[in-house]
Amino acid sequence: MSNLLEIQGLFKNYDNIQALNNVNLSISPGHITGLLGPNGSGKTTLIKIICGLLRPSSGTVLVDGNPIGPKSKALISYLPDKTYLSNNMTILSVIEMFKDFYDDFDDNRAYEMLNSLNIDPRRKLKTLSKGNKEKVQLILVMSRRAKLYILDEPIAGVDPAARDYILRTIISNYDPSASIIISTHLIADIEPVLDEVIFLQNGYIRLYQPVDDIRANTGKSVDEFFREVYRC
Amino acid sequence: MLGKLIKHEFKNTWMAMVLIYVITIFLGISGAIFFRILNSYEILTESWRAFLNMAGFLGAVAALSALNMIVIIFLVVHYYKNLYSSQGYLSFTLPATATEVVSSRIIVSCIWMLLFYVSVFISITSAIFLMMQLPQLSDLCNSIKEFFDELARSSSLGSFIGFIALLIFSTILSTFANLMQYFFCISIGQLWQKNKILGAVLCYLGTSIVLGIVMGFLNFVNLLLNDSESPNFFFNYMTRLSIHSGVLILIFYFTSVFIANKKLNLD
Repeated sequence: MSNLLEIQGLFKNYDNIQALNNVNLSISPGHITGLLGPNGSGKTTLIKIICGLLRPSSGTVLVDGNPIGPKSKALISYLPDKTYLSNNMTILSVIEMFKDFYDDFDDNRAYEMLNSLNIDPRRKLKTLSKGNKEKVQLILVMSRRAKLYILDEPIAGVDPAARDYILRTIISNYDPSASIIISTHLIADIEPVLDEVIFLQNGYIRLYQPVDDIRANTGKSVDEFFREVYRC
Repeated sequence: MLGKLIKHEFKNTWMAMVLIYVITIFLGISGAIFFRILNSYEILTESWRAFLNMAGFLGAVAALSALNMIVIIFLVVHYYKNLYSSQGYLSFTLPATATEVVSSRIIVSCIWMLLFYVSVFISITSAIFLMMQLPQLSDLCNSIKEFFDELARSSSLGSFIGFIALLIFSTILSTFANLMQYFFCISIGQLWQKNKILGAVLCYLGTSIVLGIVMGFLNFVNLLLNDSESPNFFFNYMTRLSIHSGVLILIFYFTSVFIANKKLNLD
């Protein structure tokens, strides 16, 4: 099976700071991967490069064999760690926009999820609470039948009940042939859904292993192991 | 994909822009009604009437200038927010090239700007027609007709129409260049790692000074090399102005696109 995401020799420098240092990574379809690391380890830089929001200094990134561009962007469903929708838009108009731009967008799925959360699609985004805005964004992202989902801090800033909802939404809505990359600091919350984890440190990959192997080799949960590796 | 981007850009901005156009046209009509009422009653003394006419005229000019400023501010803020604030995370992850994304915003902004001037034209024209009494209106139409007949007789009609077309073309290009200077500066501001808005403001000040010097130099050379009494003086001047604006538009456009393609760095 060919890799969904193939990264080779990726470097990114900001002035004198090396944000990514020779990152090599292959992610095959059907995996949920945790992208973990302390602040400034390069997680967001890596995600931005994969999504086409940042140019690497050198190296190659292929998404299902496509270099970063319109084709790769059509395959990636990206949830950033901030609200990227205009507050003046209604949820309905955002859904129409996603439907127009993404062939894989399933509006029925979006309306079902909105209905289950009692969110009226006619409402403007500025009338929603922060938590509901994040849920709407997640619904939009998970309503696509994308090949690669990239979720940056999907459960940060929401209450524990909403976290459960978000994790359920992620698990129940992604196609088994697709892959998900989740970047988060809340490792304990997402650990049950992860197949494998990447530990980033100072811009390089310190560890890339299946979760089961970590548990078997260390006798610790990923959260405990992370705290041990990155102890200050 | 460019067509889709343009369509959605219109959908996201039409409400504010149409509101501005309606206000612009309403301003012309209401101003004309004000002047008609003012001048059709004998209650006011001649000096008061002259004063109110002047104040009304200056008020209308100020209101139109303010509307022009509002259009520019709206388009520039929208461009910045849509591309380089958190909304950029959506704009630049759509399945389109960065060139298409930036071009769609620039094209739609230029069209809205152009339509604003159309609304100003409608506003002024309707104000003139409404202010005039019917005999005056008839006189105006006759004068215009006589003017064109005279031009046709002296076989200058073609060159007059050509001059008007060049004047309109040059004004449109100059307007686009002014608007795109803001977009260019916003893009240059993105090259700053921090304080990107400050970078954009400094760039705007810098480019304004440089362009002012260049423009002044070109005007000086124009006066020096060309006879200002020559019938072709203004024609040549407008042609040079159009070329100048065209070159600026190309520089501003390609720089904005280049930065979005190669130097994109959203916070």
